[in-house]
Parts: sequence; C-alpha cells; structure tokens
Amino acid sequence: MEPILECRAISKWYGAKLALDRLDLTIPRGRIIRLLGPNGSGKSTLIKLCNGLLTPTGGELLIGGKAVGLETKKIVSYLPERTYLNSWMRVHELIAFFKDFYADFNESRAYDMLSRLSINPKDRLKTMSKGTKEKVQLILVMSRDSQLYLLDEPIGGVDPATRDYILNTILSNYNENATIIISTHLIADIEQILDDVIFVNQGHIVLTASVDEIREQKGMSVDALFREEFKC
Amino acid sequence: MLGKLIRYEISATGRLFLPFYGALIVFALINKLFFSFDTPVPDFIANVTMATYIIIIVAIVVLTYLVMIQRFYKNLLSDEGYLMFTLPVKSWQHIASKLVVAVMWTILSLLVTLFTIFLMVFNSEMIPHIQELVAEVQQEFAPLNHAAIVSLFLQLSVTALISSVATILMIYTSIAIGHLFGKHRVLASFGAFLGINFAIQSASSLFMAFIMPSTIEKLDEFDGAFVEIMNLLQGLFQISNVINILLCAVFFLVTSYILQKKLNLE
Repeated sequence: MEPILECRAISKWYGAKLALDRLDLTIPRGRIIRLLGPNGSGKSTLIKLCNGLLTPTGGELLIGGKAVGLETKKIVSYLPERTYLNSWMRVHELIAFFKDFYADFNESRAYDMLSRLSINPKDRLKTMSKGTKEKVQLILVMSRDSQLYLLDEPIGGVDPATRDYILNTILSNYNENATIIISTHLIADIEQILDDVIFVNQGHIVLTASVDEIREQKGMSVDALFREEFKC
Repeated sequence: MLGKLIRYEISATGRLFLPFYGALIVFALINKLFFSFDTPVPDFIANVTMATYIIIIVAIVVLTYLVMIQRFYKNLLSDEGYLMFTLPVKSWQHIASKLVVAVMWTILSLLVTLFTIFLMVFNSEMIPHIQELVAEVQQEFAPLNHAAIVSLFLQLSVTALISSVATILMIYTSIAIGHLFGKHRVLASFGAFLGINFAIQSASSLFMAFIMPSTIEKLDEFDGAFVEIMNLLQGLFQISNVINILLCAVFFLVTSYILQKKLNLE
C-alpha cells in the first residue's frame, strides 16, 4: 500500500531562516507516530506544509500519493496548536459546520464525546476556558474518520483526567489504516500508545525508530532518549 | 461547496449588520413620529434623534468596508485561516463567497437606507407632491420614452455594481499581495492598495486626456440636446464597464493565485 505521507527533499525558508532542510520522510498507514523535537525544530512547519497552510520553498510533499490540495484535505484531519475556531459560534454550530464540509465527519461520535466531557453544545466558544476550547477542538478533529490525523500540541492545556479520556478516545476511534502524527512536549503520557518516534532538530530528521527499537537497542524510554539527544 | 461557504459567510456577517439595520429603522420611525406631531417636539430632542439616524448611516458605510476587509484578512489570513484553508474547498471559492456576500451587504445597506428615508418623509400629504415631481421628471425626460429611462437606470445600476465589485476585489488583491511579505503584512497591504490605486488613476487620467477633449467638443456641438448627452453617457458607462470587468478578472486571478500557490499562514 502506498504510504500516507511522503516528503521528498522538502525545504522551507522563512525569509533568510531555514526551517526545514531538504527533508525526506515516508510514513506508512496504520501507525501512531510521535513527532519530537525542541522548540523551533520544524515540527509545526512540517505539519502546516502537510495541510497546505504553508507553501514549501522546494521539494515535493505527497499525501496518499497526491500533492497537497482539495483531495488531500478531504482525508487529513488537523488540530492546530492554536485556537482557530470562530469564538462567536456555539458548539453545535461548529459541529454543523464540520458536518457540512467534511463528508467523513461523524456527528453522533462528536455529541457522545461532548456529553462525556460535560460540554454543553449550546455554549459559545467565547465563554469557555482555554482547556475546554482545546477539548472542543480535539473532539471536532477526532470525530472525523480520516486517513491521516495531524495533532499539533493537542493536549497541552488539558487536565490529566481529560487527557486520559482523550488518549483513550484516540485509541478507540483509531481506524487500522489511519495514521496519527502527534507533536507534543508532554512525553511520558502518551508513550504507551505510540508505534514510532521521529526526532526532528533544526530542520533535519535526527532519528526515526519504533518505540520498541528504542527500548530494546538503547535500553531507555523515549522520554529519556529525548532528554539525552537534546541535552541543553 | 460555494453555496455552503456563502451561507456561513452570511451568518458570520449578518450578526454585525442586522443590529445596525434594526437601529436605523427604529430611529427613522422615531424621526417620523416627531415630524408628525401637531405640537412640534423640542428642537433639541428632534435634532438628537436625527443626528443619531445620520450617524447610524455613516456607521453602516464604515461597517460595510470594515467587515469586507476584516472577513478577508481575519477569516482567511490569520488564525481562522487554519480552519478555512483546511476545508476541502478551492481557494477561488473562498474569494467568491466573500465577494458575493460583501456585494450583498453593500446593496442591502443601500436599500435599507433608501427605505428608511422613504419611511421618514412619506405621508399622505406628499402624494400630490410626488405626482408633481414624477410629472416634472417625465417632462424633463420627454425626448426619451419610458423604456429608455428604465434602461438608463438599469445601466447605471449595472455600472455601479461592476465598479463596486472591482473595488472589493482590489481590496482583496491588496491584502493578498501584503500576505506575500514575511513581515509587516498589514503595512504592505496598505502599500499595495495605494500602488494599485495610483496605477489605475494614472492610466485612467491618461485615457481621459485622449478621450475627453474630443468629447467636450462634441458636447458643445450638442447644444444641450438631451438625447445625445444620454447617448454619450451610455457610451462612457460601457467603456467603464469593460475596463472594470477586465480589472475584476485580473484582481480575481491574482488573488486566487496567491491564495493557492503562495499561502504562508503565520
């Protein structure tokens, strides 16, 4: 089966600053992958390129064998690292919005998750705490039956109990052929659900390995390896 | 998908416009009430409500432009763009949906304002006056038949519509060009707007310099013949339409190209 994501010598410059340096990367379907790296290493840049929010300076990026565009947006579910929803909209209006535009949106799953997390669908985003807003965003994104999920810092502002619930949700909604790429600093929390780890630093991929390999070969957790690789 | 985008655009902007329309109608009614009292209302109060009415009209004009700019910049090219540009729709559909709705509010603002003026000044005593006015206009336009007046009015509306579409697209293009810059994007957008404006102004004054002298000569020859002035005006409308339609096409293509091929959200 063709890989879900393929980067061929992808480069991104911001003015005179190099964010990604001729990066090559192939990600197969059906994996849960952790994207790791210090601040400013290029993680968000890579994710934004996959969504077409940034235009690469050079190279080629394919999702499911297609260049980023209308067709790839149908199969990619993206959670940005910022609040990106209209704050004046009510939660049920946002659900209607997602349902309208994404054919793969599962409305009843979204309402289930909302009620489990006791979020009132009639509330406006404006009146919610930062953590609750993040929950709503995550619920919307995870209620799609996508082939590629790109989660950029998804659980930063969320309390530990909700975090557990969300991780379980990610796992239970996980379609065997879908790939999830999570970029986060909160390390130990999600180690048990990961298949692979990609270390990024200064626009380069430093290491691609499965979590089992890291444990067997290096005899340490991903967390410990990260601290060693990126020691300040 | 375009229909859905338009629907969401209307609901996102309607909540801003409708309260102003409502307020305008309320103040028009209050003014009308004051006009109709037998014993006049103290000047002070009548002045305040009239001034408020006019301020609301000014606010609606400002709002129309502000929303036009804000919806394009904020909804597409700032944080909200993260949502809009991950939707499976084409870039040109974003531009088209924003444009259609901006034009819609421009027309609606005009209609609502005209309606409130009518609301205020109209009463049964005016019917004879209006009939007089209609008769006068008819006499003035006597050389033209009914159909010609209607067609002139329609042409005027079409020309106004096309030129407002061109203005809106010019604003979008300026914002899109500003987006090409790494820093100071708002400033760059403003600069792009001034630049485009300057280019168009220069081109049109150059054009006028060639056309106008002969036109003015012709006007002298006309000797004030109404029909011929009308014909001349219609000719000018048509030229302006053709130029504006070309500008619209260029603006739309440039904006669409930038959003599709040069997008770099911060």
